[in-house]
Amino acid sequence: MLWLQGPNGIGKSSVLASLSGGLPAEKGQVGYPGVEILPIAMFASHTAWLGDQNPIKPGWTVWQNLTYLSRFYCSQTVDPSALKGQLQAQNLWAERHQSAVCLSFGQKKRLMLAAFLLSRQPVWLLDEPAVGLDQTARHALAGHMLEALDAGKQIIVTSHEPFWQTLPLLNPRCIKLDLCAFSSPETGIREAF
Amino acid sequence: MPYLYELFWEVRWQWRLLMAQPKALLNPLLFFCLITLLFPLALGHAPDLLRQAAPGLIWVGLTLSVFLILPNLFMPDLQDGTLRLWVACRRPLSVYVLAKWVTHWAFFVLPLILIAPLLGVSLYLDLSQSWLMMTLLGFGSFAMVGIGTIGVAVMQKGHYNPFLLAVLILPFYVPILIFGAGSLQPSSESMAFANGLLFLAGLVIFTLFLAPWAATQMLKLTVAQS
Amino acid sequence: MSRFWRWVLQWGQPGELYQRLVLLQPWVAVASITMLVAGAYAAFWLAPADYQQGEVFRILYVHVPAAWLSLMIYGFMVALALLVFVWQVTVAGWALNAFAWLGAGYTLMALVTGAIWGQPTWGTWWVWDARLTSELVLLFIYLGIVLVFDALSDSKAAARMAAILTLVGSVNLPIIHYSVIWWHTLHQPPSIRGFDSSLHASMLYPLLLMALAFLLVFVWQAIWMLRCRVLQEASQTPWLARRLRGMVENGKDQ
Repeated sequence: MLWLQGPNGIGKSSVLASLSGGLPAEKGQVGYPGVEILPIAMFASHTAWLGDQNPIKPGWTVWQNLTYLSRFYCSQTVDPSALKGQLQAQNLWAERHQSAVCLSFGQKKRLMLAAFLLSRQPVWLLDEPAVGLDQTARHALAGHMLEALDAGKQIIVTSHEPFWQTLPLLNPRCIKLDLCAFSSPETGIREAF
Repeated sequence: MPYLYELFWEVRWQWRLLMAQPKALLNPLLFFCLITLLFPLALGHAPDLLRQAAPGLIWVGLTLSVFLILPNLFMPDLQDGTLRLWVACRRPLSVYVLAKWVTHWAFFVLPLILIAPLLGVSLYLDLSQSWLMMTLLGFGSFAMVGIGTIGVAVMQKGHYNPFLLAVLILPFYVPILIFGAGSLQPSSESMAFANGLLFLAGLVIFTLFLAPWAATQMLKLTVAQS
Repeated sequence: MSRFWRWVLQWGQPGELYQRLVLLQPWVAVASITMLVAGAYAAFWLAPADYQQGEVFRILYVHVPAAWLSLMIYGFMVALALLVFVWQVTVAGWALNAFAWLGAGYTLMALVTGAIWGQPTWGTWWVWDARLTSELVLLFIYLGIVLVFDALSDSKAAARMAAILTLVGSVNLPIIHYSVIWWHTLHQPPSIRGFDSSLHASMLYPLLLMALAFLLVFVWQAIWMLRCRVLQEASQTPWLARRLRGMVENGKDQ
């Protein structure tokens, strides 16, 4: 597990977006134990990305939103029972027929997590996953991360606070990476000349 | 065919998204009626003049209405982050563009075409021509929305510039207007209608290949910017 | 890689490109001024006056080269758009921007001279002639491409968007052109003709000379705009600092 750290605007989210394929990266190679080193564009198919925005449609119910979002993380149609399990795990089962307008920010984040946890990709990219989550939900998220690590997955996370420190098992497996050490603005145009 | 299945799935969900706010349909409908009924007030109510101008007026009214519908296509999804999810999760954006195109046309534009003969009555248009007019309007407006997807995909930081949109896409509407309205002129021969219909159908097929590709490329750049 | 291919690829490096443009510019300037003077002399003194239109027809020597050039520039832009879109050449995007401005300028010139020509010969400033209408649509497409460049703050993304738009336009332009011709024949009989009869040789050679002169002037303008753009993009680079130091020491820009 890799913890990307640095002040606002240093490019933490951009790194995650490039790894996910959402930003066109000019060059770069990525690899991790168990797979060969790939160019960054090919690496994208290994990743599942959880962004800092919650694209939840206010016109739909919670259940409809989850069904729609699950398509992004799971290529085949998801079994309703799996969706039910995720909603129960995120404590949203009782609200499943409510309109998504009524959801609070934290509940929206949990709904996103419910969809995200359906993914089977070996690399997780989490962009500020704990924003808006309360203490129990953060603890549960850290538990999911630990489970994923045990299952052999890799996690790259950006966060301003290490919410996973509550789990003593997870803490030693986290490598901190300060992005300040790498910043070099506008290198692209300089190299061109 | 997983691609067609994906497309079908997405069309169904985009349709559900539009049906969640059915009242939004009233906006372009009212706009279309008002803009078309404005012309007799400005041109005078001489029946001959209006009958001659009617196809053109209806086409211009429909073009302006389509133009107002277009911003609704991608902007909400860009603002709430759905589009970033599309790109980051590597689902084919052409599915998205096609689904938006088809559903928005069916939801917003089809009702306009259905009431077009009614507006034609107010412009003294020959009612026997209604079916011809509706067919031409249908093909033409479908191609219009398709070309429009390319223009509205050019956005900066979640905002689009209506003037830029006009300059970008209206030149490409020239053939549609020429063939769509030209085939309906009372003076034109009966062959003109068949020609116009064939041309518009060809243009639809052409746009079906061109627009999803171009709009996909534009959307990727737009999402990377936001 | 052979020396030739290295030479070709070096056009894509801004510093090298600038150096080559500086070397090229005087030659293009001399050639274009010479051709322009020769062409103007041939067009305004040597060529005989038209027996129907009199001296008025001489505006053809400005109007037709401008119209030809407006189409030719779009052809160049399609090639540049492919360079931007497929091979992601940054410099091609800068050139695309310059070409779009110049193309819009020549299209406007063709339209304005066409209107000035139309007033005495057809008795009206504007007719919905097929060629005039296509030219007008072309102007709007050029302006759209120019506006896309200005609309986005990230110049690389803007260049790619403009390149896509150029390609979309290139496949649509023939459709627009032929639909306009069809529309024209539908609405009114082609009673007014611009000029489509074969020109006499004494009138044709000045025209070809002027067309060549216009092309050279366009290349000259493009070199100027591209040089300015390279310098603009080069701010804060060591390359520019080296150049400036060289200028101060040698006293000239070489």
